[in-house]
Amino acid sequence: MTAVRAESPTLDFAGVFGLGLGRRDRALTAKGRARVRAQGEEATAGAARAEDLAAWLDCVARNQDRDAFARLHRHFAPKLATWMARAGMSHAHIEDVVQDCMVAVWRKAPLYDPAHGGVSTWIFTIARNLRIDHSRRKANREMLPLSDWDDLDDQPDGESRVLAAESETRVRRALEQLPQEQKQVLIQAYFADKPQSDIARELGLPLGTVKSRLRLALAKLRVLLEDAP
Amino acid sequence: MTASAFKHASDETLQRYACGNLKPGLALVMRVHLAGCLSCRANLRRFEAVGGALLDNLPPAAISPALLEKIFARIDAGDTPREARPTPVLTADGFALPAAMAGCKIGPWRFVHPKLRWARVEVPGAETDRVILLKIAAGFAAPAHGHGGLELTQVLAGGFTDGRAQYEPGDLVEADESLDDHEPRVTGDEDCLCLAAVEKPLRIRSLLGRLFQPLMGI
Ligand SMILES: [Zn+2]
Repeated sequence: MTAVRAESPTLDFAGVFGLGLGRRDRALTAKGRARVRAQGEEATAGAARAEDLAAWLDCVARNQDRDAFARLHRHFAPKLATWMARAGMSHAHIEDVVQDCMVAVWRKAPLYDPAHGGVSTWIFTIARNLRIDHSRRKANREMLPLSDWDDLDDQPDGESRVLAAESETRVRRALEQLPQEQKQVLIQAYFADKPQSDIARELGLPLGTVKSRLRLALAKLRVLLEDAP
Repeated sequence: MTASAFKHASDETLQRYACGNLKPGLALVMRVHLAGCLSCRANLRRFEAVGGALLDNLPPAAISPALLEKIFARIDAGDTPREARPTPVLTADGFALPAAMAGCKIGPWRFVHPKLRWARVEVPGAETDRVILLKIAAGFAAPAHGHGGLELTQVLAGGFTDGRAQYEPGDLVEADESLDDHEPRVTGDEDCLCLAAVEKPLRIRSLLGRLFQPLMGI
């Protein structure tokens, strides 16, 4: 893993990337690295509240408000860049994808439907689709266009409305209930596009432990988010 | 576990789909399943919401200060996103394929057995992904098999049983290396049409592996 990481240009993109490996902490043990990363992630939480994000997006949608957009950009663009770097995207392409994503946020702002979920979730799905698009474009092929929310027209069957109403705070609360060791594996599963065996090696854990931690985390989240509020 | 638990995507697969980490071939089978399954869709929404919250908690990376100006320049230039071309509904063997498969290319049908035919499905941008349509005639039973990596099979028509559950159109059969060997058997009088994708080259013992490995290198 160290070898792969050392070849990666993303290492120099910012010190906080990938496995949270800056030059400074590259010498740490796998467990130590995980701790550093976990602390970093806790520390940046809550910089902007879900209601702020929704209000800014609303200003963009209604008034093409550039100040509000700049706030969204400042909040999301650096986080999106972290995601793309951890997912193994090359330095040269990270800002392209972040740029595409923020342009899409501007254009699609009027289409954002809070009934589907929070602003962070909406932007997560846009970035997810652009990342998939990008890897297809790299293959130089004709693409199937992907749309957000998976172009699945959810009937407002109660299910999605319930999720939307308390989405952000509820999901956050559910995440807080996970043991740190499960959360760490969960974050890797979401943002590092690599096999679980690699994740296990980096964390210095047996593969079975990583698999079971992820399974437990996902099952717990599903149950917590399934329950009536 | 009830039999119905076998007919849907696992949490792990939905999570991989939610963050875009599922390979295009497997993602295609998931899209077909999701289009007809409210319960998996609801779970997908949950795992997307988790992704949104985790994204929000990621540490920031340094980005170029000029990026915002570039974005505004593109907005001012009004460059338009590419239009989604209307794609015709695909058919295979007279059967209208799910809309989620639009854009895919379906290869010619080939027999490997008088009761078993397959056609390769090419996913745009991921032509090397291992995706096939499989048509199995009534009465056909496949040899017991195990799996290598993730294997997703969506039932499009007809039905089969594998001893754990009876699968009908719309059901997804998810199998990975942890699954015990089982013997799929087509039930009823109707031919069974499935869309299947596998993550890794199949082990020789697996169902698709035994049937197809020598023929298509999957
Ligand atoms: Zn389902």
